[in-house]
Amino acid sequence: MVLAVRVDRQEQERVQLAVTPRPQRGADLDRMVGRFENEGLQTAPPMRIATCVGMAWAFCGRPFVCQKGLHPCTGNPYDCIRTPMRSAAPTPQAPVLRVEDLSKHYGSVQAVKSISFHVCPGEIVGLLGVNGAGKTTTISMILGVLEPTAGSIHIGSVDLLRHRSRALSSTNFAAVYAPLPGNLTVYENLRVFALLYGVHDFPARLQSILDTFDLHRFRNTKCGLLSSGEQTRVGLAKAMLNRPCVLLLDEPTASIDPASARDIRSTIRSFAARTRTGVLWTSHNMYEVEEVCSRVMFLSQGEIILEGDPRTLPAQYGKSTLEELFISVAREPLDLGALQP
Amino acid sequence: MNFARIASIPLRQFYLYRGSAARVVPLFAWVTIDMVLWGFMSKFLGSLAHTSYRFVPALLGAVLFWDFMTRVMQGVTTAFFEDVWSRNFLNVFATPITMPEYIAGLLFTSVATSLVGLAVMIAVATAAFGLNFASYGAMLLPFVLVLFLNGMALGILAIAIVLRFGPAAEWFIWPIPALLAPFACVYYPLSTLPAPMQWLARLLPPSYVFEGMRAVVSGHRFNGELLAAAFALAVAYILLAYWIFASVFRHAVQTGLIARYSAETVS
Repeated sequence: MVLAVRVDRQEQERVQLAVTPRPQRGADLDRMVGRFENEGLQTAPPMRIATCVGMAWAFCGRPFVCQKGLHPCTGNPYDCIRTPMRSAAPTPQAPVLRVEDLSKHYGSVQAVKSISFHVCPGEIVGLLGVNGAGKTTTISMILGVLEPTAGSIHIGSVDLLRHRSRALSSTNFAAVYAPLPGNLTVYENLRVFALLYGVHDFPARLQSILDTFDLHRFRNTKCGLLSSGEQTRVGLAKAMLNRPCVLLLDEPTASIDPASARDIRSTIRSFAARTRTGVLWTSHNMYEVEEVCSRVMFLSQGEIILEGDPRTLPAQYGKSTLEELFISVAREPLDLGALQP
Repeated sequence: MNFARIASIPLRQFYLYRGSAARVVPLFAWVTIDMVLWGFMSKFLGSLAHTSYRFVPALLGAVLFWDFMTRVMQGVTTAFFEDVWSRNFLNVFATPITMPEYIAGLLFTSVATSLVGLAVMIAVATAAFGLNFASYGAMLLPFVLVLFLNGMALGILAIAIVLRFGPAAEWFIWPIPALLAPFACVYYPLSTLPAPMQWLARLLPPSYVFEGMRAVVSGHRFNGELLAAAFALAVAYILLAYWIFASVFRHAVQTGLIARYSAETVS
């Protein structure tokens, strides 16, 4: 049942419906309506989703796709009905990834030192730093394959350390150092990972993901026989298979040609915008980071030392490009005073 | 326990076996060779001895059951090694699968592959050498069950060793059945061993099974309490092996071994 509608009249591309998971009555209905009104949604008499889709169409004059059910990350009874967005600017919503005071020590070596950050729905955040700065350690902890020494990680509202399995069902990742088994075909790999991630509508999802990454002709090809670029696309197809709330990409375009890299960046951006997936992206390609990320964090010796918009951050620190800023931070990470705006 | 996640492990193995003769042939080739070799050996020994001792059910049967236990162990370890060989740990353990689900998936894989081997061994031993399983009477199923549980325990312990010491430790794993065979009393009675080795043998559930097999074939009664003890030992070893694997896995998650698992990083 649909209770409320919000349409962004400026963009006329984003429509949100507040949907109850089941028909509500009496006090439950009042409580639900009150909750939606508190969140700035215009409430309406309960109506069926089909009616509301028609209403949204009338508002914006274009068709929408309806995703039924609870919001996968927040658990709120919201549905999003929208066409692909031009702007990736996130609305103020609960973060899909929240990292607080995260540390990792290996004996006396401090790989990550009490870092805190968050990623909002639809936001692409760049995690930058020299080799050994702690990027992959941070990503490993968010993936649940490395136990933090201290701190907490929440995927949506789920505590990763307490409810590992539930939290990981809403995440996924792609990394150049973790290719899918080369002795299985593209289809077989995706089938196995669909079971692991609990993808229920596998046939439809497979078609959609093969379309997205132009992989139909490789459906029955063993992954080990594919080129680097094709393997990267298969890895990304696996990463998006379960429609994750949080997507971790560790140098996703490393070792592929610029044309393919551009296509992949474009696909990831539109996926993040369409599904409101929060993306944490590491890369050493500053051009790519500037193009894709709405926010970047510089990690040095396990600490976040700079954070901001990759398009404005260099100028704030007297540098002309992000690459120059990166090099300055890499060479003199402890002398940030000299870089102060 | 999520059955879809458990099913993903045997499904992956099915895909691998489906597309690879190199994986399918060993399921039955080596056990067939063992049956042929020990079948003729049993017949030859039977022709030499002037006793009523029945070598085919005692010796060939013992080899068959020992091979079965080995196959159960290798069913678990080989499925695990597939993830080691393809460097798939990070992909698998970054999914929602839990450790008990992963182990259950390996065990289901082992059930399927070891039953193929068992079926082939039974067919060859029965058709070519006249091995009659009725000669083991009602004890047949408990014998098989104890060996099955012991094979699982060995398999889980073996993957814990490889996870802890790295892919190169694979070479510790393949000889395990050969190392245990002298103590398991597969080919001779327990009384043949010197006293200190007998103590070790009594700690191994298969030694009770093979003692029992020989007793039944010779027409003696086998003490059911000893078989119950073997069963209890096998269950205890599974629990112990699982605890060891859980400890090793926890250590691997704490140290980052899972994230960087390869021969180079571990060594």
